[in-house]
Amino acid sequence: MKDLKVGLEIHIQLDTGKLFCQCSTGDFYDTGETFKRSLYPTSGELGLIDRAAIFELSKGRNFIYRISSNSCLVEMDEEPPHPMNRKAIAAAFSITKALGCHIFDTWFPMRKIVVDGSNTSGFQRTTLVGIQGSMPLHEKRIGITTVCLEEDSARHISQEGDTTIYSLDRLGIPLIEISTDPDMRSGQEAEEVAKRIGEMAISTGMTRNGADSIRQDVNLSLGYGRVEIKGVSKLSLIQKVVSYEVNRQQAIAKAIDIFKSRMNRSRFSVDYIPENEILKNSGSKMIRNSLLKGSKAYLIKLPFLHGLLKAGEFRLGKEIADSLKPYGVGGLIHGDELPGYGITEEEKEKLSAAMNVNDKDSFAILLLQGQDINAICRIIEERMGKLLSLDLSETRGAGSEGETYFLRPLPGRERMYPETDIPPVFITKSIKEEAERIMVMNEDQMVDMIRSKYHISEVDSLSIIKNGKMNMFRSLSDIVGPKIASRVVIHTLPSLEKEFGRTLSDHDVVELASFLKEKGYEQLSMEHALRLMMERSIGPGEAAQDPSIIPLDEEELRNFAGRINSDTRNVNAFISLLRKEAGRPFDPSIAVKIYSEYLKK
Amino acid sequence: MQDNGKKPSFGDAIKFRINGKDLSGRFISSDGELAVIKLDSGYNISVPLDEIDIGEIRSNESRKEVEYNDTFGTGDKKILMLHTGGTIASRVDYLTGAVSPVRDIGFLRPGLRGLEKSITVQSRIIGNILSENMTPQDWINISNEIWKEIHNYDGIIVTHGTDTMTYTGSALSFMFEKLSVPIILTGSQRSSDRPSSDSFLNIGAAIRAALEDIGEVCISMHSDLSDESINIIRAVRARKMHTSRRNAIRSMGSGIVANVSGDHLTMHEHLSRNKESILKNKLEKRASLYYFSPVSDPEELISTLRDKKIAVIMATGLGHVAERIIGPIRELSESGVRVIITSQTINGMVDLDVYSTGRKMKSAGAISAQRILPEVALVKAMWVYANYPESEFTERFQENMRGENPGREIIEGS
Repeated sequence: MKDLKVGLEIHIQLDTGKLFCQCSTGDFYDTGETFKRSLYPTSGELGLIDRAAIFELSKGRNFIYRISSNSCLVEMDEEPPHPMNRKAIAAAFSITKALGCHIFDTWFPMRKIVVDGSNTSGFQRTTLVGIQGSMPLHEKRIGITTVCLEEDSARHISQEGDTTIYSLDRLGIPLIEISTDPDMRSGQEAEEVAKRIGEMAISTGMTRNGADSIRQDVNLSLGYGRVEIKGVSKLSLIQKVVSYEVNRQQAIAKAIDIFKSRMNRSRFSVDYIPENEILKNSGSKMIRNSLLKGSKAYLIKLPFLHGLLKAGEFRLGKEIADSLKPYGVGGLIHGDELPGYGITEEEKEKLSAAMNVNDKDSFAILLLQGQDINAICRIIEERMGKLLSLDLSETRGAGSEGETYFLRPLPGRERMYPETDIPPVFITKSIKEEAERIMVMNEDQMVDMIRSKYHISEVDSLSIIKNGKMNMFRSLSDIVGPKIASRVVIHTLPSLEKEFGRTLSDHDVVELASFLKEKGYEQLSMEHALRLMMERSIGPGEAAQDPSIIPLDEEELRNFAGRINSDTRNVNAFISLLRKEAGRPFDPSIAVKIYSEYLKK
Repeated sequence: MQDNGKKPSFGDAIKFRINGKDLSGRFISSDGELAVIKLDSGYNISVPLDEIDIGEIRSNESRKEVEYNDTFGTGDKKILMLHTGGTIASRVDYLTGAVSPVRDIGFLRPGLRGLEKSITVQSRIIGNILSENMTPQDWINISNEIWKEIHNYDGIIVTHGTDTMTYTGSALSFMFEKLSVPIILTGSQRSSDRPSSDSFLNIGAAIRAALEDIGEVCISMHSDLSDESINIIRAVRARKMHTSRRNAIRSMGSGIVANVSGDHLTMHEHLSRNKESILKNKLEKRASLYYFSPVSDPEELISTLRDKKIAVIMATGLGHVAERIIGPIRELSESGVRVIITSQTINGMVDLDVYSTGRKMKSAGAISAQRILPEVALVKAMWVYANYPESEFTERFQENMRGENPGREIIEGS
């Protein structure tokens, strides 16, 4: 096996307000309003158009943007960006410094061309903050290549035909992008580095808490070119992604060896024949239905690929199918999958004969919805050409199980040019002073800090940090005290999150706490109110107003207690029955008092 | 910086060191102390010249000279596109920061899909003026450029900065007393070097409109947030109503001439093409636009407007100014200045008969602009003054010549 080298790009959202406007990074809702846009190719500073941009544009797409309450004309590309958010600058400075980087005195906001619609402007604004840092990992050091401060992209909602739908809620949220050198040698090391960097950023108290507030890209090379794997959302997926990709590349290398030994000409080419009687009368329901819906079916010959498309460890069929997906081609059935999909051995024989396929060749059935068959054949040839060269470099995506799939070619260097709408940022003394006040800590330091400042146990401190809820804990403690705050963060929320399969934002939880504190029953009603917010998807204001969260007074509690069988075994069982019966919070000490009165009777 | 006798220039590949580590990039610029360098990653950084060692300098690989075309399409319908400057036709030069015109009209292609075989667009750069720098003489020059070619084309497009586009549009509208072809002005709020530029659709719609039976000067701009619907607006009823939005140019209190949605054009009320075109492009340039406010000083008014022939006052509400300003209006009128009253409300009609202030202004010599927009009133007065006998001024000024002074206002969208 060749040497495995893994690098990371870690994206961390900041909770400082958006980077180029005054919109919030806190809570938001969908306004129901939308607008529609297109994007067009343009050339960069040195006169060239980026190949990743051309690739996206060749797909001809429209974009619909949903307007969220936390978006303004800036996110809509209807107003120039405002000067860069100062808090975000300070946070970026302090994190970059903690990573030991050389930090530039002047930061140049750049436009990185991105025409998949994820930025309304057609570019992402990004700023290089520092370079050449490092962090320790056991006995070695992991190089930090760059730290950038950039704007997050619009959130992908769905794809409908040639229209992609995005929400503006995420667009413009400040993102610190930390890129490491390819210094990790395993998925495990990569996971550990990602975790440490994430924790460090969280310790500033300036990061966002949410489902995709920290996202990783994994860069990997095994000697077959560099692959960028985008959007590895969970830490636990990093190892899976690495091992999937390693297996994939090794299997390709083996498959290509076999392929080359069979190939008797210099160039791989794909021939096709149009829809024939066999296909029209195919045993496959999927093919017949597609034809009824107006799709066209083609037979293509895939020379020398028999047994390499999908057999044992070989998956070249998926490589080909993945390369067609960006062009909207979803239907590809190849020889290694047959018999199957309702196609019998007999039909397979007929198709092979029609395509003049020998025992080394394979073929595929392609279902096209308006795409040009010649263009599609060229794309397959290009894909095979790339695999043959064993230069596997490209941008890939990560699925929820750690599998990876082709997204687009790697971007060229022409994708970046200066953002001329805002002046460069000069790092002044006052920005540095602001940054000095931001604490960046590692895990041990965070545990120490929580322990000593809030007087809670080491175990609890650690689990607050492990849950990624340090910011929430700190804000909650200020309102309800560390005891309740730690209970909510360590027990109540995780169990509610598990039960309902969703999370509440820091902001909502903290706001709820202050509403309840105003009413004086933060101690008793927190849990009920949080459950209500999860159960009914309501905001903290509504939950705090709900009559079912008002604690019972002694008289009410006695009423409920009267309905309970008085020979209950012990006080805990009594309280638990009372809880069920009442459905509202109460002070357990009153319940204990009532129980002991019963015992006396 | 090592003095090896060679100083880098824009685009040169250079190697340098920061913190003892080798880096490479391209030289962009230097102010003598700091160098701006584009790293291979694409990011620009700034490095003090004395902290870096410029090792090897490799000259800028011959930058590909961008080929450009000034014609587009192969069809019979001929469209002339005149570029005057402004955002729509500009690209930023990253070396000097200057804005330069786009020569290649190939960039229009996306907006013109499906028209390649029916039209031939000839593109010509006649200026590189940011629209805030336009003067009445530029309006005259543009009208002359159009006049030279008007008989050889089926339609004329003028690309123009959006800031004063409605002034130029109004001027052309009055100067071309009759039009045998449409003149469509268009611009953009996002420059053409941005993937999200609105220029592609604005120009595409302008060309579609230029093929229609329109004998008016119009403006082609987005009708809303989306890249979907483009309004063709009568220039004399248009006003820029937003600093940055795509639909900044609105049709004020009157309907649009046409709308283009996708490939589909819908005509609304409009003037048809005439058999011939007539150009009368004299203008009285001694004119001024004055914005009345509670702070306005009568003496300031007199001293600013005394030497003018035309003074358009943007007054409040129905057309009122302070009592103290009525004297100056009388003095100016009596000395031969045409004092025209428009309203700061933009929407609605000036009426000097309703309140006593208005009646006093009227008897002092003030001329109501009725529904004419303030900027349009300025341009129109300059044109009327120069092209008609003095005695006819008021009558001609208030006449609805090009749709600028409609008799009625109805409730409607857009």
